[in-house]
Amino acid sequence: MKFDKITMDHGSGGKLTLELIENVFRATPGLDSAILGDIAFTTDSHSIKPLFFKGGDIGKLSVCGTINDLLCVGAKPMYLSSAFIMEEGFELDELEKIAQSMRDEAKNANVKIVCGDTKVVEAGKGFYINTSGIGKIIRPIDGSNICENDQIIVTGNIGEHGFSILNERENLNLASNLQSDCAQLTSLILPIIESDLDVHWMRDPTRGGIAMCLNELCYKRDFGVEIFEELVPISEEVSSISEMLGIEPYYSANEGKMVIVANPVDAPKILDILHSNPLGKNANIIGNITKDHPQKVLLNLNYGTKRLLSMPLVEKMPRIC
Amino acid sequence: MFAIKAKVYGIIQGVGFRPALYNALKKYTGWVRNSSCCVEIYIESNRILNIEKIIIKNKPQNAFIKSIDSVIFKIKKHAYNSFIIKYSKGDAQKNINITPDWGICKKCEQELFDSSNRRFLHPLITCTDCGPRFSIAKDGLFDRNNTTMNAFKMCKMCATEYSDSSNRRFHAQTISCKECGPKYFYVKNKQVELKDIKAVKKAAFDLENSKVGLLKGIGGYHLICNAFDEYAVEKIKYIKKREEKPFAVIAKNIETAKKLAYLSKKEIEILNSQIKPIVLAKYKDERLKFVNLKSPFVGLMLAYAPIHLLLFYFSNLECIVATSANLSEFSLIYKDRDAVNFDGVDFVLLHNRKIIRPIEDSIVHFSLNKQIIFRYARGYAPSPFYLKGVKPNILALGADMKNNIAISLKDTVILSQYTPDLSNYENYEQFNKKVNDFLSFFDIKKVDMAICDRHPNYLSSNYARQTFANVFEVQHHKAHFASVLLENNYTGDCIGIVLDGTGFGDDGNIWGGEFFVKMDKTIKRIGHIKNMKLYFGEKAIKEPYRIAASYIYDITDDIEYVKSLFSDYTDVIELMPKTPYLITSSAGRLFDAVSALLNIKHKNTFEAQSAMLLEYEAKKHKTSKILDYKIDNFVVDFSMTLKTIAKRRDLVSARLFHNTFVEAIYENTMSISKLTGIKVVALSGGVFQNDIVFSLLYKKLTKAGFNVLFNSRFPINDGGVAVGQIYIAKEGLCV
Ligand SMILES: [Fe+3]
Ligand SMILES: [Mg+2]
Ligand SMILES: [Zn+2]
Ligand SMILES: [Zn+2]
Repeated sequence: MKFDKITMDHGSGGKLTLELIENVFRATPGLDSAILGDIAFTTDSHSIKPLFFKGGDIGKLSVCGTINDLLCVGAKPMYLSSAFIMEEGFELDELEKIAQSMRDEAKNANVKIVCGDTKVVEAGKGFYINTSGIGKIIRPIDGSNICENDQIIVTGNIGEHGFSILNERENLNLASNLQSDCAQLTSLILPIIESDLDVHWMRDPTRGGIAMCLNELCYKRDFGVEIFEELVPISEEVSSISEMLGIEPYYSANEGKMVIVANPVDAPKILDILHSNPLGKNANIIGNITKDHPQKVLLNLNYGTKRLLSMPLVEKMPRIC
Repeated sequence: MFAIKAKVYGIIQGVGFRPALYNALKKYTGWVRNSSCCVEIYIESNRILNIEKIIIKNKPQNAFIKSIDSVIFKIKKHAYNSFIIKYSKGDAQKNINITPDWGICKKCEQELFDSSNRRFLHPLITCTDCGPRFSIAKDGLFDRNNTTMNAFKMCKMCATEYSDSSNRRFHAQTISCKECGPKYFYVKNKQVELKDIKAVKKAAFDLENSKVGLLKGIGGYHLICNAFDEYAVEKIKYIKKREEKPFAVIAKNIETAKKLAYLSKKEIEILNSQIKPIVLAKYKDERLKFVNLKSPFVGLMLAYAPIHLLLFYFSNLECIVATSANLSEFSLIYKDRDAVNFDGVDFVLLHNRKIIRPIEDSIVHFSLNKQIIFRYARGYAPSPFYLKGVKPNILALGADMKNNIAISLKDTVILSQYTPDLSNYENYEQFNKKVNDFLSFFDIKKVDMAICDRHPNYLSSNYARQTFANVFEVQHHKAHFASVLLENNYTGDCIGIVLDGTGFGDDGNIWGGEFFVKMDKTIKRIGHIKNMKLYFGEKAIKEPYRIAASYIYDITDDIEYVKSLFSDYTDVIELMPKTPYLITSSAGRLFDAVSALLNIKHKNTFEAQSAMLLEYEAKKHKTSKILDYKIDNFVVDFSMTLKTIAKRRDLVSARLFHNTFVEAIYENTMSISKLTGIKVVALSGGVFQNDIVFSLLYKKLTKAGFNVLFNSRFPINDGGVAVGQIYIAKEGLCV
C-alpha cells in the first residue's frame, strides 16, 4: 500500500504513524519523552469527541497524557505548557470548565502549568489542546536493557477509555457504569521510579491499545512479546461491549494505564506496590519478553493456541471481511 | 554409426524414470542421468532411433512428459560399452520437477498382502511408483541421500533390488523392507510399548474398542477412530473442540466406499488414483451420521498409506475417521515429539521416518463431473505447471485465510501446499517456513519480484512488504480471475466472473461479487454486486445473522423491522445505526444473509458453514422459479430478492435464492458480452464451491454459446490466488 495523502490511520499510533516518523520526519520512533540529561521533555496534542466525557474532559486528558508520558521515562513531572486552538463561537463556560479541570489535575500531580498560548480558528474547525511537559529524571528508563523473560505488567483493566468514548459518542447506551479511565499516574508510578526495583521500559497504552503498545515495544528489536488471554485484566462491561460490537479490547485506547516491563525477580514486588494504590488495584503480570519470535506480539488464547496481535496498516479493515 | 542426445522435461524425478529408461535402452550403449530441470540421455546406435517414441512408450505411470528435445549426430565409434545410469552430479542444479507424495500403488498393495512376499505386511512398503516424495525430500534433487530415508541403510536384499534393472524397485529411492526400513511404534503415556507388526495389531485392536489414536501417515498425523462408533467420534469432537464440522474418513476399500456414498465414475477414478484426495461425496450410509450430522456430504478417502490398509486388515473396521491432528483450523502436527505430548488420545502409532514438511490431505469435489479443488495439498503440491516463455523468478504470497504460495521459475509455475488462517501464529510460522523452504528447495537465490494481495492488513502481504525489495500488489479478485487464465493457458480477451467471500478492493471497499473484462493486456472492473452496508466487521462473518440484519437494515432503513426479524438479538441490532460499517459487494455474504434470514444458521462454528447449509437446503427443493432482482449499469442489485426472502422466510426460498442469484449473474454476463463482443468467460472464487451455483451458471453460459473457463487444476477458492498473482506479473497485465 502506498499512500500519497494523510489518512486517519497515519494518526492511529500504528504502523503508518511509525512510518511517518521514520520517512517524513526522518526520526527514530522512540520513547514517550526525550531524555536530555537530567531532564525529560515531551509534547502531545489532544483532540477528542466529545470534549466532555464520562470520567473526564479534554482538559484533564491533555494534562494526564503529558504527565504519563514523562513518567514513562522515569521522570518526576514538573512543568507543563498549554496551547489552545479554539474555534470561533466556542462557549466560554465550557472553556472555563476545561481550564478548571486542567488546574485541578495539575495540582493533584504537583505540577505547574507555566506558559501557554491561544489561537482562534474559523467556526467548525474544532477545539484542540497541546501540552508540553518537563520532568526531572529520577532514573532514566529507556528500554535499552530489556531482557528475555522480563515480565510485562499492565496496571489495570484495559480498553475502558476507548469503549466508554464509543459508548457515549455514538449513544449506544451500553454499560451505564463504564467510564474513561483518564488519570494521571504520578501517585502510582512515581514510587516505583523512586524505588530501586528494576524497571526496563514503560509506556502508557493510549491509541491502539495494548496491542499497539506492545508492538512498539518490540518494533525492530531482537525480541518479541507474548501475553496470555487469561491474565489480561478486562472488566465485565468492556468484555460484553466487545462481544456485542465485535471490537477487541486489545486495540482499544486507555488513558490511565501503564505497561511496565520489569526484571522477573522484581515484577511481583512492583505488582505489590501497584496493588496498594486504588489506581492499580487490577494490575497484573500479563506476559513476558521472548526471543522466540522477534518483533511479534502473540496472544496465548485460553484454549491453547497463539494468535498474532499484528499492527494493522489500516485500522478499520478486517482481514477476513 | 549415430549418437542421440535427448533432454526430457516434465515430472520425471521420483517416478522411476531413469530405471524405466534404462530397461528400455539397455540393449544400446550410453547413459541416462538427472540434470538441471530434465533427464538427459545419450545413446549410441547403428541406425537412427525414434527416441521420442521409445521414451513415451516406456515412461512410468506417474511420469508426465512435457517435452523432449533431441539431436542426432554421426560418430565414428562407441564411446561406451554398455548402458549405464549416471548418478546425479554433485553440482547438478536442483530439479523443479519433483513429484508430490503418492498414495500406495496396486502392485505394492498386492505384495503387502502376499504372504510369500518378503514385504508381506510391511507397513512402509513403497516402490518407484508410490510413497512419500515431497514431504521427505531435503531438497529438489530426489536421491535417497536427499531424503529422510538416508537414515536407513539398505539391507543386502534391498540393495540388490535397488541395483537390479529387472526389479521393479530398481533405483527406488524410498526402498525398504521389514529388516532395514523405518518401523512403526505403539506409544502410550509417552512410553513405547510395542513395535513393528505388534504395534499395528494393537492399534487396530484399540480402534475396534472405541479408542482414539494419533496416527503418523505420510505428511503428518491424523486423529483416528472407528467412524461408526459414536463414543469414539464424540471423543475426537471433544479433542478438536469441533462440534459441527464433519470429519473426513478413510474407507476400507472402494467397495466399502460405494456403500458409504453415492459415487460417480469420476469420483471413483480419483479415489483410486494415486493422488487419493478427500472427495466430498453425497453419503448414503446412516452409520456415518456421527461424523456428519447436518451435511449431506462425506469427506471420503481411500487408504493412501500402507498403514491404513493394515489397520483394516487387522480389524473388522470398515471406515475410520482420519482428521488432521490439530485444533480446528490450526497447524497440522507432524513432529513425533508433539504427537507424543498430545493430550487426550489413547495411543499414538508412529513410525521413525522423519517428515520434513507437513502436508495436509487435499479436498476435491465434482460439479457437473468437473473437478473443483477445495484444498490443494498432498498429491497435488508441488506439481509443476508450464507456461510459455522464460520469465523472471517470481514469488507470490497468495491470500491469508487459505494460504498457498506459488513460485515461477523460467517457464514453470509451482503452487505450494495449503496452510490455514495465518492469524494463528503456528500457521503463520508454517507460512514463513514454507516461503523459505520453497526458495531453497527450488534453489531460487534471488527473488526478482514478490507479489502479494493489496489488502493492507493481510499478514502475508505485510510479510512481503517487509521482506522483499521489489513488491507488486495485486487486487484479490483480479488474481482470482487471472488464475483461471493461467491454468487454461488463455491469453485472449475474456470476461471474468469472480464470486467470492471477500477481498480488499481497489476503491478501499470490500469486494467479492465482481465482473471484469480482460482486453489485450488490461483487466478492468466493469460491474459488480451492489454495495451493501455491513456492520460489526469480522464478527459478522462469524455470526451471519449480523450480515442479514445489516443488509435488511440497509435496504429498508427500518430498524424496528430488522429487530422483529431477529428477536433474539435485538440488543445487538439496536446498535447498528450508531456503529461504523464497511461497504461490500461480496457474493458470499449474500448466501450467509439468506441462510440467517431463513433461520438455517445464525452463528457459524466453522468457515462458510451457513452458506453450505443453505446450499444443502436448496438441493431439497426442485423448482426453477426466480425472485425479483435489478440490474443497473452492470451492477446487480439483490435488494428486492432479500426483501422478498425476509417476508417469505420459507425453506423453498433457499432454492429460489440460488436460482435468482445465478439468473442475475447470467443476465449481467450476457449484457457485458453484448457490449464487448467477448464470448469467453472465466469463473473463479469461493462461491463456485457451491454446486448449484457452478452447475447452473456453467450450463446456462455454455448453452448461450460461451466458452466457459474455470479453475479445475488449481483451487477455485483463495488457495488459487497465488497462481493468479503470478500470471498478472508474468503477462505484465495492467490492473
Ligand atoms: Fe477470495
Ligand atoms: Mg504521547
Ligand atoms: Zn508401489
Ligand atoms: Zn531391506
